[in-house]
This record gives sequence, C-alpha cells and structure tokens, in this order.
Amino acid sequence: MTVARPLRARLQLAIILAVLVFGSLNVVLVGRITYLALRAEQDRRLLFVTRLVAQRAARPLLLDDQLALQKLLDESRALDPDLAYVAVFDARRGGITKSAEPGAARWLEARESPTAPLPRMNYREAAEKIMDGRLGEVHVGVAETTLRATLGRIVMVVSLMVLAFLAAGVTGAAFVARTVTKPVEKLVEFASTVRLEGPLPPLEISSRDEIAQLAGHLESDARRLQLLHAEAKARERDLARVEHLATVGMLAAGVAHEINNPLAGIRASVERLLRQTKVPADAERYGAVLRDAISRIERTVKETLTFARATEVHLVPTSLSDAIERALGLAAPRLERNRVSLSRSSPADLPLVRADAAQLVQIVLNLVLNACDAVKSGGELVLRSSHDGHFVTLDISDTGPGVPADIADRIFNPFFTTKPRGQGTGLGLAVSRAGAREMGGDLVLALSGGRGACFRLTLAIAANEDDATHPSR
Amino acid sequence: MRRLSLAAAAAVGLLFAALLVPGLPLRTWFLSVVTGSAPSTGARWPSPQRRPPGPPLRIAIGAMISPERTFVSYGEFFAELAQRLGRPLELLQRRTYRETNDLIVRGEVDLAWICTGAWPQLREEGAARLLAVPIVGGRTSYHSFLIAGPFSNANRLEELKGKRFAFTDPISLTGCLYPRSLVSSAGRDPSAYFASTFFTHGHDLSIEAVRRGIVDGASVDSLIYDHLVRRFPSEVEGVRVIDRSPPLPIPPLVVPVRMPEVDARQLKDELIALSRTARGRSLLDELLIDGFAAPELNAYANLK
Repeated sequence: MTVARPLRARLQLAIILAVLVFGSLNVVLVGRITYLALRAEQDRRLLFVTRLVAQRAARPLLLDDQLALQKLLDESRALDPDLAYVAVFDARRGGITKSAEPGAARWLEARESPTAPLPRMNYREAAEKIMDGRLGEVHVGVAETTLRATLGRIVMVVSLMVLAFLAAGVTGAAFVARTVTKPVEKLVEFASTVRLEGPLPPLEISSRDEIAQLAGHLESDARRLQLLHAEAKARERDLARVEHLATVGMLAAGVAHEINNPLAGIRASVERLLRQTKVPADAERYGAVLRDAISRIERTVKETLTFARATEVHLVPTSLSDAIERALGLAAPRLERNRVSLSRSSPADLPLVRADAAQLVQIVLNLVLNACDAVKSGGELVLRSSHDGHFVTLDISDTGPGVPADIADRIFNPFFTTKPRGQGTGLGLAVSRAGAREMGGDLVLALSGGRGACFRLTLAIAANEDDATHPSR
Repeated sequence: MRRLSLAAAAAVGLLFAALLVPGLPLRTWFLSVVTGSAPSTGARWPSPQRRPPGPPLRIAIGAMISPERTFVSYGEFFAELAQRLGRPLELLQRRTYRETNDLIVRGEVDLAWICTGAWPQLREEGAARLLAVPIVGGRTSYHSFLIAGPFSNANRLEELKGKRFAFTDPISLTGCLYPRSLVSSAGRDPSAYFASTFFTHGHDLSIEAVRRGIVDGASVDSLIYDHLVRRFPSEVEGVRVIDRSPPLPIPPLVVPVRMPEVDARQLKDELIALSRTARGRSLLDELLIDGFAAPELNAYANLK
C-alpha cells in the first residue's frame, strides 16, 4: 500500500531543512566570528610589531646604520610568520628599507613608483610614525590570504560537522519514523485483513507505547465484533425456528378448532347415551371410558388453543396475590409430587398491579414450575412480595443448584434450556420475560450462583384510573 | 515525497561539501562574504621632507647623549641654523666618538660638536679646528661627575672598587678618561679596578644604567646630568653625585681644516647671531645653553 506523504520522508525533510538553515547560519556565523576574532588578533600582533619596529628603528636611522636597520626589519618579520613585509620609510633621506616575502616585495616596489598604477592591495597594513614622523614611518603588512587560509580550514571543519549532522539526522529520522510507521503499517494491515469469521490475523507489536495500546484495543474490538456476529447469526436461526413454530401453532389451533366441534357432538351423544335408563352394563362401562377419553381430548385441545391462540392482553388492576394463588393451585400436584415445601410472605397492603390476569398467572406458574424442577425432591421454595410505591416485586427463590454464571446472561434467550432434550421447549423464561415487559414490568435473574436461584418479577402498581385495555399484540 | 527528501538531502549535502573544496567559486564567494569588504588598494609612501635646494649643511654631533635625545634636543636648533644659511640640514650621528671624528677627518661634515676627549685626536691629526664653545651657566667649562645609584652604598671612588662601572665612550673625557686617570693616579690598574665595565655611548644612558642598578657607578658629563636634573628629574631619581672633577674645557664645536676660513667664519657668525635672536634663545634655553663664544685655545691645546 503506498502512502502519499510518508512520515519518514516528512521527518527527513524537516531535519534537512533544519540542517540547511542552522548549518548555513552556523557556518556563516562561526566563520564570521572566527574571522573577526582572528583579524582582531592579527591586527593586535601587527600593531605590536609595528610599534616595536617604530621604537627600535629610530637609532639605526639616526646613526645611518643600514645593517642594523635591515637586521631589525628581518628579525621583526620573523617574529610572526603571517607578516608579509616590514618596511621603513626614511623621511629625512626618502629611502625605503624593507624586509618582505617575494610577492610583497614586488607589491612594495610598485608602490614606490610614483607613476605606476597601484596594484590591488591584498595586504592589511599597520603604520606607525618614527619619532612623530620626523624620522619616518614603519609599515607592516600581512597577506589577506593567511587569514583566509585559516578561515577556510575552520569553514571546512564546520562544514564537515554539518555534513555529519545531516547524515546522522537523515538516518535518525528514518530510524525514528520506522519505529512509528512499522507498527502503524501493521495496524493498517490488521484492520484491512480482519474478517467477521475465522481466525484473527496476527498482530504483533513489540513496542510498549500508545501504538501497542491501540493495537490491543483493536484486537479485542475485532474479537468482540466476531462474537456479536456469531450471536446474531444464531439468533437468525432461532427466529426461523420461532416462525416455524408459530406456523405449527396456527395449524394446531386450526386442527384443534376442527376437532372441537365434532368432539362436542361426540360428547353430547355419549352423554345422551349414558343418560338412557336401559343401558347395558357393558355399554355404560364403555361409555364412561369414552367420556373420560373425550374429556382428555377436550382438555388437550383447550390447552393447545390456549397456547396457540392469538390473544389480546388486557391490562387491568390485578391482584398479584390472587394470581399467585391460582398459579400455586395449578402447580400444587407437581409440588406435592416433588415434595417441595413452600413458604409465602406478602404485605397486607400489597397494591393491585397493572397486568393481564391470565398472563400473570401463566408467568408465576412458569417460574414456580421451573423452581420446582430445579430444587428436585425435598427442596424449598420461597415467594416474597413487596412494593416500593411504584412497583410491586415478587421474588421467587429456590434452594436448587442455582444458575451458573457462564449461562446467566443467556437463560432468557428463546430456546435456551438446561433440561434434557424433549422435556423443555426453552420458551418458558423467554415468553415470561416478554410477557412481563409487555405489561410494563420486567423479569430478571436477581441471584445466581451456587446457593439457589432467585427470579424477580417486577410489575407497575395500577393507578386508580388505569383500567383501560391496551391491545399490544 | 521520499524522492523529494532524498533529493533535498543530496542538495544540502552537496552545498556543504562544496565548501570543502578549495578553489570552487562557491567557496571563494562564501569566504568573501564571511570576510566582508574586499581588500582596498594601498596608499603611496609619504613624500620625503621638503628640503631647500643646494648643498646640505652637514652637522655631526658626538654621541654624548643618546641618538634619539640628541636628535630631539639639538635638531631644531641646527635646523634653524641651516635655515639661516639657506641650506638643508643633514644631522649626522655616530655610535662612537671615533666614528664622529672619522666623519670630520674624511671631510664629510661641515660642523661637528664633539666631546672634549675627542679633540686631541683631531688636533693631532690636524683634521679640525675649534670654531666655538657653548656658554653654560656663564661658564665654558664643565665637570666629570662620579655617580652612584640607589642600590649602591658607595660614597667615594674607592668604594666602587670591584663593582660594576659604566663608561660612556673610550675617548670620552668625563665619561672615561677622567675616571681612569683618577684610578691610575691612585696607583691602580684602571682595567682591573672594577669588576666589570662597558660603554653606554651616551651620558644619559650611563645615568640610566646607574639608576636602574645595572651598574653600581658611572662617570658622566656634568652638563648632561644637570640638564636631566632640570628638565627630566625622574631620570636621575635616586642617583647621587659622589665626586666631581675640577673644571674641564667644555665640549667644543669644530670644523674640518679644509673648510675655507670664510665659510668657517660665516658659520661661526651665524651661530653666534642665532643665539642672540629670540628664536635661537628659546631653543638654546631648552638646552640650558646661554650662547656661544670663541674657544679659549690654550685650554684645549694642553689636553691629552
């Protein structure tokens, strides 16, 4: 994948720009400062030699001692290798005595000629009068090239340093950029290759910085996304089953309805036959068997209709205690069979709740039967009602094994069941919660773990005027 | 972008690398930027002093005082004299009295002011004749001062025996001949009397050597000593005169014998006339000289 403006190049450009600016400034400033310092120092030496010669030249000039004068000039020039010439102008006789390197000598001779054009001066000169100029003047010169040579060496060293800095900067920028871009590139690679299913692509960030932190977040988010995706797919499958079941329910309702009418005829006929006075003993016995069978078929058809029938919910002020009473009545045979002891507590002033009576009974019955199944034989079941002014709460606790934590968040899912295959549909808790919510309440697992389970049904307290019917399905 | 950064790095690298190569125009230009203004053209030498036309008036002055002081002290007076004669002045100095004498002998000077001690040689060689003598403090005589410095306890010549001693010139009357004669007359060998000796070639230099403690004692011209006391007291600070000679004939002005009498007379007349002008007076006042007079020939005839 190509990046239009890579970090490394930008970092390098910034460093190159910095090197250019500061390097140039450095070379110019260091060069200038050094040159001025060198020149000042050289000028000091120049002036020193000039004054010294001016003092010493008086005597040989006065004594006409040419040898001593020449010796003085030669020795003075030897004091400092930078000196190009030392010359004494004799004001009284007009002559010039000099000690000079070859180039400077030619230049001085050209200068002596009153007519020849003056050559370009490549020397810096200091002059001093001898005895106020009455004896003459001393002129001492240094070649500009000596300073330039030194300056050139300094500029060379500084330039070399700048070059070294440039190389180090560019390499360093590449290295630093690499430590940043490499992990980022890995993130980009991960993000572009991660899929909703299948194993996650590898994401190895060796650093321990913010990028590594980001990688951690990215990886866990991807994992969660995959999980959510898997759950969504499962739910899709469940929905398909629900639809299928709904269709079966409708069919069952239709079949039940169709059975109901002939069944009524059969029952009436059997009843009538049995009411006749002269019924043979055998016929009476078979009639009783028929009546029992018809009763069983009727009950089955009625329950099927109850379950499958599309009902309307009538939310009216309803007594929770009555609903509990009816549910316990329905569950009593099972409770007895399982020898489950039951205790109830309810405040005397428990207000009416806003609910559909039949649905409320069904919900309580579901919860009680579930608990009954959970506690097995000899367990205990506690139903405790309470209210807080807005809501009435019913806690149904048992002494069973409880709900394991790892499935606690799934028990309300449709078709989730822990019962052996064929014994439970997995719809009980899902339908109960849906019903509770339909009535403006809720059903939650209030306690889970090893010490029994506690389901909490919450229902809104019915307002006085709230007796309207709310169709909600 | 990567290419751009590489190109930029190469460009900057080349720029600074170019500063490393001597002779490249960029480097030359850069150095001229750093060094600032271009070198200027030099000046001509100053012109020699203007001199009147004609043969110069060549005046030699013996090395009685240092060449620099001689030039400053006597230069203006003799320049004035030369101007009166309408001739350019050429002031000649030599390191020793003998060298000055040689100038006279060879006829290379017109007038010479010599030490009294240098006169016998000229007299014997018949090379010069006395022209005039200065009058100092109303007298035409001077003394030899025996001096000791601030670092010496000597109060007599004897106490300088075995010490360091400075002479002025081998034929200086006050600076060498007189003290040596004193030692000789005491029956001692002058060459072994002092621990060490050397010639300073100037009475002021001998005084300086004593003041600085370079030597313990010296013998000097009283005129020069007094001149320093009056005009430059710091130069004789701590220096004590521990003995003085009887009056001696003052250093004379001489002319070569080959100088025509008329010229010599003119020179002498101008010298005396100058000393009577206001300008001449003020210049001579600086030298503490009252004027010039004809020499007393007998006094110089007996000198050895």
